[in-house]
Amino acid sequence: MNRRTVVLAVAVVLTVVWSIFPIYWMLNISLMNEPDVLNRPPNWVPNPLTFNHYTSIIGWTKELSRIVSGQEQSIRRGIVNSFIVGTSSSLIAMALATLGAYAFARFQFRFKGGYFFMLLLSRMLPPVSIIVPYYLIFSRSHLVGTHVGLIITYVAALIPINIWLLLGIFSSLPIEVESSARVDGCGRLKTYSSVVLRMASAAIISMGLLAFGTIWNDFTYAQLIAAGSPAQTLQSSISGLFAHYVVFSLTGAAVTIGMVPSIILIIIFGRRITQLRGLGSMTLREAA
Amino acid sequence: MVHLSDSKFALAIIVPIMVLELALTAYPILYSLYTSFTNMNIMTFSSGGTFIGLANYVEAMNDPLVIEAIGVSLLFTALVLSMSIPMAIGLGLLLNEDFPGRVIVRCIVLLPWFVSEFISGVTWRILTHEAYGTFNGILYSLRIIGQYQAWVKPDTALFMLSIAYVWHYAPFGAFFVLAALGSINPESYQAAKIDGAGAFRRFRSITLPHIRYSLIIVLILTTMYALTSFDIIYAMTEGGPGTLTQTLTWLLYREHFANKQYGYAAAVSFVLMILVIVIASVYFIILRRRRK
Amino acid sequence: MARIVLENIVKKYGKVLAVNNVSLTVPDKEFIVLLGPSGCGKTTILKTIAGLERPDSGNIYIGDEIVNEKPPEKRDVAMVFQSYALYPYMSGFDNIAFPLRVRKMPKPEIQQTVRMVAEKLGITSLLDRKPYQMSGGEMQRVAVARAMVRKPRVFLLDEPLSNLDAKLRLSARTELKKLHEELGTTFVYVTHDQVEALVLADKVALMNNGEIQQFDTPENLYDRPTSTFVAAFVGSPSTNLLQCSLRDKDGSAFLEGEGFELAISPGLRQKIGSSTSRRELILGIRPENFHLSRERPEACSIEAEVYLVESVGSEVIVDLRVAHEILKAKLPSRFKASEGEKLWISFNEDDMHIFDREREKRLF
Repeated sequence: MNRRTVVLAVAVVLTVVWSIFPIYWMLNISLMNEPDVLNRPPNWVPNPLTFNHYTSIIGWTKELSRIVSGQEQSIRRGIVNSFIVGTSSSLIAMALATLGAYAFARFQFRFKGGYFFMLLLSRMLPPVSIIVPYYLIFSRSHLVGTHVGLIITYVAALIPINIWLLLGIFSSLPIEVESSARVDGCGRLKTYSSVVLRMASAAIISMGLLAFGTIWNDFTYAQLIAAGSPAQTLQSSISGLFAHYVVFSLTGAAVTIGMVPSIILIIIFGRRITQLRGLGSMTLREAA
Repeated sequence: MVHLSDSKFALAIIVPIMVLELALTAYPILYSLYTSFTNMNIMTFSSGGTFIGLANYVEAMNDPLVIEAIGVSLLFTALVLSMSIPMAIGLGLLLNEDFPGRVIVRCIVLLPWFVSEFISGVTWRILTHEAYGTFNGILYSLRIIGQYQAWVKPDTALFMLSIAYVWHYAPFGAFFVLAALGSINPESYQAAKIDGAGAFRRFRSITLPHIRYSLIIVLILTTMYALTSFDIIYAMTEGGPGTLTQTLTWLLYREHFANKQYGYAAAVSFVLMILVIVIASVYFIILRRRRK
Repeated sequence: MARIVLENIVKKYGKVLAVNNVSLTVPDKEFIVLLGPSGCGKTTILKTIAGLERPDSGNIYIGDEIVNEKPPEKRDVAMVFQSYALYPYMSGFDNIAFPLRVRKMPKPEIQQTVRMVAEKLGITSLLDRKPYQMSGGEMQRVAVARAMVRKPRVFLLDEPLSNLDAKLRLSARTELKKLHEELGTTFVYVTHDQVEALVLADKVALMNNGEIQQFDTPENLYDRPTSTFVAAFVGSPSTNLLQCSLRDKDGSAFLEGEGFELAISPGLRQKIGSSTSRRELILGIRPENFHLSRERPEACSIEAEVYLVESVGSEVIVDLRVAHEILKAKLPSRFKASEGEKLWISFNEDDMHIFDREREKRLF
């Protein structure tokens, strides 16, 4: 037990505490009754433990109180909307990105390099700057506060980076298998759908999941396009919780639910990512 | 069905995608540029406002709030960099060590990054809440403080904001550094030890050069992201107290969504973009010089 | 009817001219080999026939029908790739069944056909396995089965034996030849291995730099190479090529080169004279046509010194130094020689191949 080991151990413990404490705390208060949260000093572990906040969000049990019921409803709505928008956008974005990447990977056409460059360039701007005109344009087209508006935004944001990543993956697939499929009788689209997609399926699914996570975690676009509307996402709902009366335990529950996809993604991809190249998940900022 | 030539087939796929992308990037930017030259606001929205040339930009440059916001953005960025870069290096070094449970610890370290920036902000807001916040509670129960404090005071608001941001952001840099560290041959260290080099010397001569490139990337990216950060401010301080944490992005948001001065807001958004480009260029120039 | 005709095919990749105005007629039911070194254009030609590449100019006919505009899936050709290109996520059965499924053949028929083909090639045990569970030889057979299963009018094969180990290669080679005899389909086969080509082919198109050097039966390629390239490429070890000049001295004719003076008969002299007025020539002799003796023979001969003796089991390769050149001779293993020995080389005039030095083309 030398000095180095001790230092290392302490560092590891500190790091883990630093990283996990805030998350643990949110979970902690979400499982408490509100009065217990407001205790001075607060409890480290919920006592008594209650799942009330979660069940009331789902709608299983009666809402906590009339005052708070609006909040629970908005959280519930936010979860549903985040799901709807998240899945639709990732499906559409992946469908378009895979097709586009295939075209770039296996075909030659005029201005190919130009198109590719434009595609990447289009996403180098900060979301805040883009949101300004987006809001105006969407207002004119009545897309503000709609699912469609959000979906269009996310799809456009996700396509370029996914095409870029998929281009790398498709290019590395053995072209002779595709040639085989052509000779065996498949047209170009059938080769793409039956053969290429199957070969790259693991990567495509992974990217789709990451895309979903990215959309789920987005705040800027979600808030500024759909806040306060029936289409608002969970992140917006959470910000709405601070508008009037803050119920910490309920907020903690909403936040914890908001963290669930991230945690699931880490469980799925953690091992792969931490092998080395730590790209982490993309926020829309990298995509945008 | 008509059989398209290979290149026409590909174009049939690519062109619609490009049109979609351009409609949602190039068009908005150009529209924003145009708007910045008008006096469009909520009332003149439907008509589009009248053309006023560079008046918005002139007003912005003379606006004390804008100048202050630029200062806040820069200060925030500086705070973030001063904490996240050393943390990235430290975490990277730590995670590079071989210890049991290393993979799990790496996953745990990644967690703040995977959680959304907004949620990170909300979490830290609750933790630092003056009346019921956790930090108060813990320190109180450990009898370190006599009574509950406000953590997000005027003096400390920006600082707390940057801590929350670094909590979310540092793992990103850490993994870049970690990747670079992975490329170092452990035998280099052994050889250096034999040659008599101490820990600090080894770090300087072997470790630093290898991670230099990664650090530069992290530096540039962190600066970009910190300058254009928005979610964290919305989550924690909403620009307050007063305008103490009102970065340029927050000002932009207020001008557009609160004051509804669309033309002016558009101009501010371009001022922000110019700021980012200027700083990026400064980086590149410095890097060019250092290479020589 | 599956005759293949290529007319003036030109194909460029960027600045590189891969196929330079190639015309070729592959008669129906024959086994044609496209032979040549890497980069000579043979695979490009094959892909052009398959439709995987479009020529910049020229016409392609399969079965007397012009197919330039037809995509690969409509040309009714089958192809076996060098890497076998099996669908990695499908079983052996699904791989072989794939072309039939694409054509929407009814399920029971597919079952029957696939099993029949698998039995014929002896791969029934592989039907349940995935490609990563198969060896190279097994994958190759599945690839051949997949090609066979729809009874195409043309079989295209791109170096299908290159990735097999030596022993397996020989047995697979024999099987392919037998397969061709049984199926009676037109085969177009690409390889860089000249032994393979000579053994398998009805006719060989030897290519270099995007052009066909000689399109002929294996025997003719061997006995009557039309250029020094062909002479050097076909046969192992390569044909010895010696630069020489025609000299007339005192009523006799000689081929004079560095370190030797070879007398030639008037008949040969006349043949040369009627083919060309030039005197700068290249003489080609195959190693197997060398006669070596320790005493100077009467017939025309060259003096040489033994440089190296390599025994290859049934034969012996003797490297002989003549001035600055090393010539190779192939002799039965009972021949003994030691390094440094002086020997005399002689050969029959019938075995001599004479080429024009400048154009490197055969004279007669």
